[in-house]
Amino acid sequence: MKKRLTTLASIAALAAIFALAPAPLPAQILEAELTVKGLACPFCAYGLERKLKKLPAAASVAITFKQNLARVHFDGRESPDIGDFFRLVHDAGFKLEELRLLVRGRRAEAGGEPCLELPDGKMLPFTSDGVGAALAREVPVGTLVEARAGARAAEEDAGRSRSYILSIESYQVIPR
Amino acid sequence: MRVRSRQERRTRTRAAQRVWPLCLLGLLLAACAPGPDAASRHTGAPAYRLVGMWGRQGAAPGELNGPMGVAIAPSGEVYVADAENQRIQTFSPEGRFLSQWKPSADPAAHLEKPVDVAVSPAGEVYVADYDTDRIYRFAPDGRFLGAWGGNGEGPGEFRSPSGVDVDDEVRIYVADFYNHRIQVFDAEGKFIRQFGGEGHGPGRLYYPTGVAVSGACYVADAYNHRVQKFTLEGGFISSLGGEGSEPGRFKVPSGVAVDSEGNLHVADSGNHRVQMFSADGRFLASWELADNASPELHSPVRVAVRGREIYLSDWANHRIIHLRAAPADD
Repeated sequence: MKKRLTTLASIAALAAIFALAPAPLPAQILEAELTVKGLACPFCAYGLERKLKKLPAAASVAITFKQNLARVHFDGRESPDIGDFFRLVHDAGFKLEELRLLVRGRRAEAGGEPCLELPDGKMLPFTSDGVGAALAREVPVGTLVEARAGARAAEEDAGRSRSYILSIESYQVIPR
Repeated sequence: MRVRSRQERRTRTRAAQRVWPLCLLGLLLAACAPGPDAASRHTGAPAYRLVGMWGRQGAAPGELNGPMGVAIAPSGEVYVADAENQRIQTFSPEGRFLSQWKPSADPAAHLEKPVDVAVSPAGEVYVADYDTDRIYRFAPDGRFLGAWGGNGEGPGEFRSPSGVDVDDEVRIYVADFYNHRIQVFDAEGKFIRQFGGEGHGPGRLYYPTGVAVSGACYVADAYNHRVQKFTLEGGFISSLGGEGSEPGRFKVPSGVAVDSEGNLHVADSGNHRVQMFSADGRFLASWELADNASPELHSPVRVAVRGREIYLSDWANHRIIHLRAAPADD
């Protein structure tokens, strides 16, 4: 009986520790701003809004109809694939003109190219020009960085985008 | 018999010569002067006259945020599906705020994106919710009575219900936007039939957004830029419009209503106007949005009619517009 109680107490203590422990959120896509041409019709715009709400970890979606802008905030539990934005907008009958992201990731290298690495192992390469050049040159690999960046398809495969590249607009190093 | 003297005749002739130019000037001024509603295009008889407008962007009672559906109850009260405020509001015919329903206390009754509203002859209220894929039914006092639907393509399922109307026998007609069809239900939501289907030919639909039932079923076939008329059983009767901005043509017509004389009113959202047609489809009149601060957006999106009173939901400008149908010489 005493042994069983001890086991139960241990399980309860472990459960409490896991419940209280903060979720590890070292890096993720925090925010996306989509410029989508043709949000004039409410039925179409609401259709796009509905699709964006279904993105993994989307916390809120706001559409500014007059500016053709959709803003998505993410809760950090999961990072969507950049390709999801292009696919969803296309499926809703629109074209994604511009995608800007707020990304938190570790400075990394892949195939000799500068990247930001997300916690799930996704690598987001960035162009090594302008602000991106400064990030590649001055920030050591492994450093946690928060960056605002434009995203575009890097390669096309029979008309279907398959990889994406960031163009860094600004960044800041996140202190440990 | 009185004989006018030469002097008298001369004086009268001179007076007439002075008066004629004044009369002509008066006629010219009358022709150029604005009518009762300067924004209206009196292109036929009868015509639309602006009665008033109400609403402004906000979330307080009486304010609106993306008003979509508009319906008139048998009592004359105006019901508005206030889409982005996730509620139904009711107003007096003159636009005085009366009540709001935001049934968030009951999760089953939660409205996520109410885009259309219809009122039955007994005063029951039906709401189409674009995001939850459901039709909600409320008592005249706002009490939640039930809901049906769910996401899918099968009978009784929806992919964004975009328009709803009720006929005199309380059958509910629903425009099913992404399924390109009209579905018909009884008052409790039991599926009766469906018609349409994706396409561009007669009887086919391409993103239908609005439906009105009055002897026949009229569908705002938005992205075919036309209004189609069906029998209540779904048989194709006729089609009206086609893409364009000339009178009688449409750009994304998104709402329809039929008045007691059988005239058809169409919210021609991409052309920022409402158009009126006779029962046999002849163009009668149009009225273009006044003081439109958002010409880049599609609006008005809905139209509701009772007698000669017409209400438009001006989604882009967050207001309701009250018009009256009247003969041009009224």
